[in-house]
Amino acid sequence: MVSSMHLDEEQIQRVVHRELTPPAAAAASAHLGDCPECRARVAEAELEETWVRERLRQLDHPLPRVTAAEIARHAGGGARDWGRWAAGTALLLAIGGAAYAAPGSPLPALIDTLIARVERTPPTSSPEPAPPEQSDGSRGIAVPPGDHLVIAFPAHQPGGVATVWLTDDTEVVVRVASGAVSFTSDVDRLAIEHADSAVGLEIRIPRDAPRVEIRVGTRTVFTSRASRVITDGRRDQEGRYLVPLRSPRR
Amino acid sequence: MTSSFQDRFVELFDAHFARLYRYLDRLSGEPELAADLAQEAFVRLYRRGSLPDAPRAWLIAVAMNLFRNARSTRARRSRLLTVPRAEAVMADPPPSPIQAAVAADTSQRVRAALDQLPERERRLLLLRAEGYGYRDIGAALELNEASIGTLLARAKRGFREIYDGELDAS
Repeated sequence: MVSSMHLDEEQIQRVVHRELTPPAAAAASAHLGDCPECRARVAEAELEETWVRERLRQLDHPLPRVTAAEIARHAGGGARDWGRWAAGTALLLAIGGAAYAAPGSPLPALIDTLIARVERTPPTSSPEPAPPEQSDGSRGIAVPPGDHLVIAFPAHQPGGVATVWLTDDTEVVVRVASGAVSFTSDVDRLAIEHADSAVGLEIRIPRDAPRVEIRVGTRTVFTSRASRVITDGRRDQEGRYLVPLRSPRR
Repeated sequence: MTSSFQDRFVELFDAHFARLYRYLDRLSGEPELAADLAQEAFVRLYRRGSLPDAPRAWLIAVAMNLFRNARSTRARRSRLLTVPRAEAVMADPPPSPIQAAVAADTSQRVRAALDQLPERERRLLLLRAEGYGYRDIGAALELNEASIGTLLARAKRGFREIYDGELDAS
């Protein structure tokens, strides 16, 4: 019973947070009706609660736009190994895992959906099984550029072209326009391997990234240093660089 | 997967995704990471195919495990495309440079105070600020529910003292 005794700290907090059981709440209420000291302590605790919440709000960022339907679609989409979405994939890649985007892999469909969301596709409202999604050109990966990122094509790519442009984004985004590609991310290095010779890629590089290089074999074919670009590729009217993915000496 | 599970999953998601995200965002100071982890926690819940006895506490515990793993393997973060965020409220006028500077200063001070709190108190404070009940907090943090109020009072006091100390020092 609390009606004849002052409320202790636990009870004060429970009054503020409405965490008392009904009988305990009734007893506390009765006590508070007669005890200005405890009323003052509750009022003080409420003020402190408000003060803390207001401070913590200063840390907030906008909510991510994601729906239960999207979560369910990816969670229920099939094999666990590829279905690690967002953070799961982040952890895998952070330790040097590979994200495969070859035809027939379910990963492209996953990325298609993520890209669609980036492009503000209206969300649906209920979970439903994943329909088979076509992956005709929006597979890809995003990595933070760090201080120095190398995008490496281990082999010569006859006919392959990367369309590169600088953006205001914070991450390097690589999208596969054509061809079968796999990505392997390591510290400061994103390796892109492919089965087709005529792979087509779109690579977006943050304008303020300190240094991003694209290498084919041992040759650097594109360098971006905080907006300054050095490349053999030609620049189109829209400011994009068309960079052949071949070793210049070949 | 039963439709009743899906219905309950949607209810849970709608009611708690934002809370879990904000908790992780405030805890980590990294909105992208927070979004990833909150989503992954719900993905795991969905894959489970049934709701645990205390789903909110379960989600918090899973998210915290993911957070610990992320922290321990974070030499570099790399992930599949960016997580889109809701656009800023367009009706809000942009803050003046002075307002923006004050907000940034306050935010830094809050972050510094929060980071100096003991781990348990920081989590308590942030979970309660998101409206989680004592039972969920106790279950998620493996604390005796009967003493959550006292621990919260201590956490709030500690936070305020550190914050005011930061203020005096600046």
